[in-house]
Amino acid sequence: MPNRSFLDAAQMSRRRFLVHAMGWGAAGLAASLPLAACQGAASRAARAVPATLHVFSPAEWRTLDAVAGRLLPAGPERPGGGNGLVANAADALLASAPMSLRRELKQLLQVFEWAPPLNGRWGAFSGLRTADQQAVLEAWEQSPLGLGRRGFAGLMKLSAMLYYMDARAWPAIGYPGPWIGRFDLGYGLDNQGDMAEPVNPNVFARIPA
Amino acid sequence: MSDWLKQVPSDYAGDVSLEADVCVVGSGAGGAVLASELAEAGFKVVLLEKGAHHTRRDFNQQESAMMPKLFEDGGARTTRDGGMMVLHARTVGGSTAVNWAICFDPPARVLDEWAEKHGIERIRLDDLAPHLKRVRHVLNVQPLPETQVNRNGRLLLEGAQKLGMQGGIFEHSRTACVGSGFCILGCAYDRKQSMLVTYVPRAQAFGARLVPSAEVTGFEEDGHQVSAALGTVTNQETGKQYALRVEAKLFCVAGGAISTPQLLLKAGVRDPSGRLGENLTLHPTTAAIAVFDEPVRGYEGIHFSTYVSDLESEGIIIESVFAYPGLMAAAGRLWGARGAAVMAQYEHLAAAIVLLHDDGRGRVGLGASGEPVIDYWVNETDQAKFKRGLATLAKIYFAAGAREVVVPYAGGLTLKGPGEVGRLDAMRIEPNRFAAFSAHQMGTAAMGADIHRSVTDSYGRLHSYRNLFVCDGSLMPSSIGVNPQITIAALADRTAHHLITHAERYLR
Repeated sequence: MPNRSFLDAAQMSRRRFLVHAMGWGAAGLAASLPLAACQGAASRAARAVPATLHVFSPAEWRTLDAVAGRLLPAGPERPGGGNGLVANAADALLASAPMSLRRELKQLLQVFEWAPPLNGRWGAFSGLRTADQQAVLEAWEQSPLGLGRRGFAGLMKLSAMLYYMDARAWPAIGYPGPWIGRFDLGYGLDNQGDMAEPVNPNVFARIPA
Repeated sequence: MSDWLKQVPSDYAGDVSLEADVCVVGSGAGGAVLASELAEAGFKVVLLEKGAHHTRRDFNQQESAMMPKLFEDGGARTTRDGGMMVLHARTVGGSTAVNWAICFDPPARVLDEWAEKHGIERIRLDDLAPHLKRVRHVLNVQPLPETQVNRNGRLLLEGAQKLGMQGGIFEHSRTACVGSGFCILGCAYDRKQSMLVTYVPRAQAFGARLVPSAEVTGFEEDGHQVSAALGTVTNQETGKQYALRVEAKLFCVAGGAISTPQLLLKAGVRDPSGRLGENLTLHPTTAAIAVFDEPVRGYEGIHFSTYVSDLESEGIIIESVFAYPGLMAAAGRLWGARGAAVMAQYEHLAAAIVLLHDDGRGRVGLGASGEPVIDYWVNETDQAKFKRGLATLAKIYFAAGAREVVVPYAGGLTLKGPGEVGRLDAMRIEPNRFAAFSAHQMGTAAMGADIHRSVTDSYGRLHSYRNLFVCDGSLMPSSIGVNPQITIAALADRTAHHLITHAERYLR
């Protein structure tokens, strides 16, 4: 299990640690990002780091890609969270995030990458076998230390949100997505048409005594 | 033809300096009602809102686009230890623009406690009744038609009925709802009667000036009164900020129970009680997901429609609510092969929350950059309530025919039948081991008669100021125990009429 001194040595801030990164807002740019080939098992070749990264170093990108790939495994009919789906979205999102947040997330990824020996797995996280990566993540989730659980929860929520907010994840779960673009309720398919007056007649009316 | 609701752009190109009788900071359930009532009474009102004026055409029903636009910290705000998500809005209309339109009148026993324990004047249900009636009229509050209860809502009631429990269908503030189900991403059809489409345009129609993207950071004081609000306005296109200054006779802070103490603490207002930012209640909430053989399609129709009230006297309410995929997976801790297997059955999932009338208290303080720092975790009493509520909910779902009930707990906790409900007793309700969140924040500038134990008087005036008021959920001395928007709106109507009646005292 990770111990407190190790985490402190990594200078992870307790203040607002991944507060932003764990959130829904993390998916803000996800939908606009290209999806790499994402069917089937992850491979080193498919995990090619993009030529341009806004926030992450290539090593940090690989760690997040490995974490997301394990948190959101690919299936026969669904893409996985790896192969850039989550990591690219996170990199784009973090580009407009405060520097303190970027620093915290980068530190967390460094801890995840090098902490496996604390869980009895030798090697960097991104290089571990699938079963060992799974075991490391489970150990973080169940950590007796609040900070360890917090780190896991931050990455888990960030990855899950970025993944399932992406329309490419929807066919496998049967979610049809927004009405806009599918139904015209009288204001156009894009819903940009005018509404002449409020549907609620009480908005501008005198309130009865 | 043009749209009935005129968007106020945030296209600032220079400093903004305004004069008014009343400056209201925040356009949610409290601020919008107060601004409208005072404007209707003939006062010159400026309504400042930290968020932008997003309207129907901006609401594209995509989680990825709307959460960053409409919520503080993109919806990612948490308590300091990360253990609880704290959802609150940053947009014109405040949290009413992103809620489910639930309207629950305040429980009489809670209001009685406020009167008896805190000495608050004219706060009992009979006193609030005329104010509730007024806001219910403008918001068009009505019971949700039974035909609009989706399968997710029906399953909760069916299970409860089989166990002999009491439940019901919520009252909502909607008009001609089309049932798209995207309420919390902003109603794209103006059918949800939030402040955005009711009291804010009503206030504007009576002459109030709405100033979006305007953040107040301090006040100028003159003795025991405030003379000006100071802050910035932001051009949303360029990101450039300009100075904001509003001179007024009366100031009212209505930013919600997180942003209101944040502003007042930053401004350094005098608070003899030392209670500003203390006494935070959050209606701590958790959820359970049930897997049914039948298709539920909880994403269809109104997501939040029914409740079970048997445990209300214990401070527990169970409410049916469904979530979009991103929120469902993240809040449900649905990761790995187990999580993927649950999400693969998304069309067969039902979901509900367990909401607590909290016994515990937290606080809002300031971080190094002036950001709000929220300290809160459920105490032992509330931990027991969570277990009791989840156990009851699981039994309800199994009675309704659920195959499994999934609880958002580290490592995954899946109950396979009613005989396994006892496993919930072994849960350790700890931050980041057990998923909890809050959509209702209250109590951080509480009303009361005792200047040493309360931040404001019975009508929201800070004890040390003649003309500085609070008008939002911060005023509640304890959590209300039910969805609070209608109570906050009624309290604002009450404050407005107190100010109108005593204008010579406050507005000079």
